[in-house]
Amino acid sequence: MRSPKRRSRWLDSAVPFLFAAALAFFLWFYPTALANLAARVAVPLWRAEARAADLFHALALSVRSKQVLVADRERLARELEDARALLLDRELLRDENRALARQLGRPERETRRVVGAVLSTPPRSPYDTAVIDVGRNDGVAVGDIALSGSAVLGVVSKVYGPTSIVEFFSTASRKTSVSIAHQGLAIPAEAVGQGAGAFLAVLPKAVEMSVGDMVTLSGFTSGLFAVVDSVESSATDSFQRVRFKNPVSPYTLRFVEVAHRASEE
Amino acid sequence: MRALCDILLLTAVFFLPWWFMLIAASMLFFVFGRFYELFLFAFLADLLYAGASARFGGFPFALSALALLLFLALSMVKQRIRV
Repeated sequence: MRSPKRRSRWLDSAVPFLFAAALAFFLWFYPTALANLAARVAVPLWRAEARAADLFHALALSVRSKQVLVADRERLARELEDARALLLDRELLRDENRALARQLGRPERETRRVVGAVLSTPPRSPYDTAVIDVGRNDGVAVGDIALSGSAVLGVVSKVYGPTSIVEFFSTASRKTSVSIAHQGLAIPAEAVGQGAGAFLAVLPKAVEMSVGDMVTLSGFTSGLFAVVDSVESSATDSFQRVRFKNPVSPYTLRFVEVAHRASEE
Repeated sequence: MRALCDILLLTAVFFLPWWFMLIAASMLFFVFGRFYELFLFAFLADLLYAGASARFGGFPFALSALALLLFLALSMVKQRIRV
């Protein structure tokens, strides 16, 4: 007969394994049931957190001094003027792009985009994912692209009723096919995620590249993937290390747009 | 006391970085007997955040597996400390 101490040790070791086996069995037959339930429980909590953060932010603003607010207003007005100047040729370029696409026989497509609030961002998740408050109920599907403005951020990897999980392209060691635009050329490359919106690509030194070059996702022309941040190489090296960064940080996101991939390609 | 710690850990799963919950649960493992919550909360975090990701070889229960290993390792440490 086992002594109580030995029985206790056996119980300590066996319970987690039995529990894991029971969960595996359940998940085999109902793969999304528990995750759906967890998402339903979590959404009101995360929404309450966002509301509390907004309230706190409003309170903090109300106690700031008038001088700080005036300085902020002036700075923002200046930035807006600069942005307007930069956007002057946007409509012109868009019309030109449409005309070229028509000439090349590419039909214009209706793009379907859904806006979702970001409920949770890294580092809460060990998987470097974000949870957004649009899901199957809003027509989101696995493989859809998540954007912030025109910056491409990641791909929807799981969809539940009220929420979806977005995986960032910049997740460490994740590989993505991209095109780097340099003086009218589209240079194909493989971007390796470095975390926090940063990427690295290794290209032959003979390929010309410069800081500020735009990077787009291969096959997805509607958004900016990243901007070249630095190009490093040594005199003895035959390759160059191109670092690029997404203009939007995944850690500070509040809203994202979800675009149906097929309609944007 | 244990219920209060469980509520705080549950809150950590929803609102704090994942490693905070794991470290706090590991510390509480030495305070309470058979602290299975370590495994349960890691599993909840997996359900909430795991995508079909390239990270961890596409395995969506990496944190649960880590918690399971931690549970066994901490059980051994706890037994040795008591001897």
